[in-house]
Amino acid sequence: MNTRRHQLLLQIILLLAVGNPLSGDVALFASDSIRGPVLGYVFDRSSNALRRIWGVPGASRMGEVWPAGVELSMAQLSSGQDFALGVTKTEGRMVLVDLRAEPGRVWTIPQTSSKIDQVVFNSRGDSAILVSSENRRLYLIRGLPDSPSGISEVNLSQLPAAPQIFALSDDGQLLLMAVQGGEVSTLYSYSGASGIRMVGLAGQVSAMRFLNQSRDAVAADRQAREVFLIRDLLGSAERILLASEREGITSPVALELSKDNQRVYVANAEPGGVVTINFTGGAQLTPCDCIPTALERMGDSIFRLTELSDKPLMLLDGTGQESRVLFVPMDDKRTAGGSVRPLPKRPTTRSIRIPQRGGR
Amino acid sequence: MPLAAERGVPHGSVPHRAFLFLAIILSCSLVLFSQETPPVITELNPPSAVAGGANFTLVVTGTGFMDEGDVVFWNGSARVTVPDSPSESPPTRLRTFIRASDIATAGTATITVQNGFSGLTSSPVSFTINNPVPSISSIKPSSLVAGAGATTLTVDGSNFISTSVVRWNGSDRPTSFVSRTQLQASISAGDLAAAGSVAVTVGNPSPGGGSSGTATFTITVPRISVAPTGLNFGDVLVGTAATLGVMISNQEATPVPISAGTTAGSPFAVASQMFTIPGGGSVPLNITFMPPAVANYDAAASFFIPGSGGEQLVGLSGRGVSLSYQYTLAEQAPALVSPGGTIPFPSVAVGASVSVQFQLNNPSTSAFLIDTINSSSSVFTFVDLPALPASVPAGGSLTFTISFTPVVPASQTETLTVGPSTFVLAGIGLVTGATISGLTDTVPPAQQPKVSVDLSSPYPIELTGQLQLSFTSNADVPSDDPSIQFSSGGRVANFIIPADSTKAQFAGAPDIAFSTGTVSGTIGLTASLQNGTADVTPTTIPTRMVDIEHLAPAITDVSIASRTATGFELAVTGYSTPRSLTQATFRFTQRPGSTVPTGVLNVDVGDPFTAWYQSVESQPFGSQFRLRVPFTVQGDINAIGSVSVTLTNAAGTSEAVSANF
Repeated sequence: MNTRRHQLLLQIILLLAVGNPLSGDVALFASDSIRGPVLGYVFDRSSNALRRIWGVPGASRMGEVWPAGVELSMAQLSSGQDFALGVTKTEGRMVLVDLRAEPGRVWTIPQTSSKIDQVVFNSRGDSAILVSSENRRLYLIRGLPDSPSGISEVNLSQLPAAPQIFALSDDGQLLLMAVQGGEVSTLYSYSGASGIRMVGLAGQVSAMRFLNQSRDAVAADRQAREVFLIRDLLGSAERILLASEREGITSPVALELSKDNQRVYVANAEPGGVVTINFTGGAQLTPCDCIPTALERMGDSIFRLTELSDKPLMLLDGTGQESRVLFVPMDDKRTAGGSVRPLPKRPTTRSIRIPQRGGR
Repeated sequence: MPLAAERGVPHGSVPHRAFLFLAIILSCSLVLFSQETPPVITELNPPSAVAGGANFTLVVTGTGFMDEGDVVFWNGSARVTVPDSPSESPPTRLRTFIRASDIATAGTATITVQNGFSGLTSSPVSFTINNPVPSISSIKPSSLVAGAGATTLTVDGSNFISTSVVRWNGSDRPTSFVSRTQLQASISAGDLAAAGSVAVTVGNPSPGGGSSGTATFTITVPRISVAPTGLNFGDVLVGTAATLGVMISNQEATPVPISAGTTAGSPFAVASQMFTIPGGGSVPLNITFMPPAVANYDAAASFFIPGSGGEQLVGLSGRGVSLSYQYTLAEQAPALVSPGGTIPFPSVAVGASVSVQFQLNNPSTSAFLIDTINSSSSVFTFVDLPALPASVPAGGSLTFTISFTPVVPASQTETLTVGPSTFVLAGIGLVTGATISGLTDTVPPAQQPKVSVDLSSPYPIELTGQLQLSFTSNADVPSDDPSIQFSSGGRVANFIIPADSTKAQFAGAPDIAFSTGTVSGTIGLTASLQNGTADVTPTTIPTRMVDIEHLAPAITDVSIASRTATGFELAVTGYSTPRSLTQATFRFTQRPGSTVPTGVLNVDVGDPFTAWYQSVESQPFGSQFRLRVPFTVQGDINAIGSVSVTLTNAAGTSEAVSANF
């Protein structure tokens, strides 16, 4: 095999000129521009590491442990699958794991001394909430992953209980929280300008998401078996029912929206499946031989439904007209629940300098 | 101890002292009044004589002899005595005549000399009369056969005396004195038991006496003969006995004891180990051969005459052989099977039958009787069993057929008993049929269809099984596709089929999904079924073949991987089942309001993709790829609103997928 030959690829120089047809120059140059596709990543709790998922939807397989250089006790992947926020297993440091380069780069995120137990991204993946339930605090961080612009600490101690469900708007300015108290969930919003305010009540909110590029949000009520839209969060907070048990909402545990905001995907735990709600009307139930626990975006239209375990990882493919549930078989059972690949001798861990912003 | 007490006389008593004094006076007077001294004998010539000898003259030398009147006494008997030399005075030697009768028997005579003048007598001197040394001139008999029994030996010779004794190899034997020239001795049977030479001597006791010279007595080996001198027992079945006879003849006149035996550790044995053959007679004897194993045996029978050293040998030979067993499957060569071994029947579907011909061969030189042929199972039955008991002739065989008809898909074993031997009958009943369903002949790539396995009929037992995936690529650049896997991982999925059910259960589900991958070719699904460790897969193995066709490329994602003021990088993800691509087309659309016209750019990507698909790096991905195309923009990059990408291969062109700037 001529290795040089297969690395020859194209560089295209586009000539854009007003009034002229588009033209291009094509030149061959050495590159590694054709590679195997990566569908995304998943956190492997048994290995305290991230694993790569090779392939395309419907023809993917579990890859090896990604060489981050540190062991993680938890990690949350961005929707673009280009980085993850996690907590190191030994020191409890909050770190950003940059997946765009290999070997990995790990950046320590300072000023989050509280124990972080939950990370919630906005759908764009450039902002995140770091939740410390123990201290009833959360930290808003924006400008991810390359230029984090600041970190804001929000004190939640005025709430009757620690919120468990969160959503963050794409602009990173608006936060939606659900506090469960008895048989009622109370929804609160937070913004830097208006602070924390109650926006409504529900039975048992199990998942919430902001629409893309919007300050409207969608929430799932497991007790009421409903999915509803909340419009004008900072104003009237109007609640509009999107789907109920009639559309197949039985036990919602997670939800996510399509990039174009035309569809809401709702994962039911029992019976396992996903209901795709079209904003234009109608819903489609896609059964799954699994018990979904999440709907984590992996790119534009792929969503992870289950955690990595000794069973196949299940995905939802929302690419086509009809959603489909796909599996990712374990490619190598020895490493599925096995030990972490030996850490690199010199993990590239650095600290990000983030200017502190005022919080409440 | 006081002297008086020793003598029993009171110490100091007068009578005792008076007597002692009188004795001393008398002694002194004898010395004072007698001047002569007694004669003294200093030598006798001859000093001794042989008993039984003739008259002879004895010369007595000494001192104190008188010129005349001295008398020599022989055991106190005066004998005529004269001086030996008349001229000698006083004489020192006296001569007297001793008669033969004086020395007739051995012993000792006392010689004294009495002085004729003084009457004094010399101190006695002993004269020895010795026994003679015997000699042997002949013995009768001088030879006997060993074991001939006790006999009397006559010894002729001389100088025999009444106390002479005949010695047998130096040991005294009871001896009778017949005459001075003949003795007779009793020789026991034990003395004549062993062949050999015996030294016979005669001994006379002292004084004098001694042993004669040696006469040789010969004990000869008894002569026996055995016929025949060799026995060949031929081929004998292991564990059975064959007998042949020999005749032992005694060529001696006297009975001969025989000790019979065979080579230690050999499978040959004599009927009698100790017996006697009368003189001149014969005795028949059987020898048996019982081989313990299949082997050649060579040994010898020995007929030994105890103590004599006589022995005759008979060579023995024979071969141990065993019954041989063989079975024959239809249109196959016979196969040998040993007792305890297994006769494997071909696996056959439940309800169907398969037969095996069983044959017993008797290679021995004698017929063999079979009294038992049976099996304890109803699934193994006999078709043409002969009447029992059945005799299998020497070198012949016995044949019958065993049929196996399973009733459940399982491994079946039973014991077959044929005479002294047992065998294991083993067969496997197979599932009658099974199908793999849920698939069309052609399946799209990157799909995850579900398949199920169904039996044609249920069974009252639980079965296990595996569904196995295989893949054969027919792509332009063929390659395996590792993404072709079951949802459970890997290319083998386990299932069970519960009792009384026809439906396979995959971890509780009635079907299982697999990924079709992204490479053109044929995916094979093959099911196998087991009951325990027995493979009960139907004869027609459940198989389903589905094709992945040569299709136009598919783009699963197009994205702007990176962007700067002067360029951007486009990432195109997709697959092409033939593992080839020829052209990429990029269709740019201007942003609304922009005056830059829409344009299409076709790029030949054949070579780089051929290189990719031929690379080792591509093989884990089937036909998948992620193409990153860097664009350098000369002009206003913000004028570009979106880019739509299509890819082309020999099968067609993909659907367009766009990415917005």
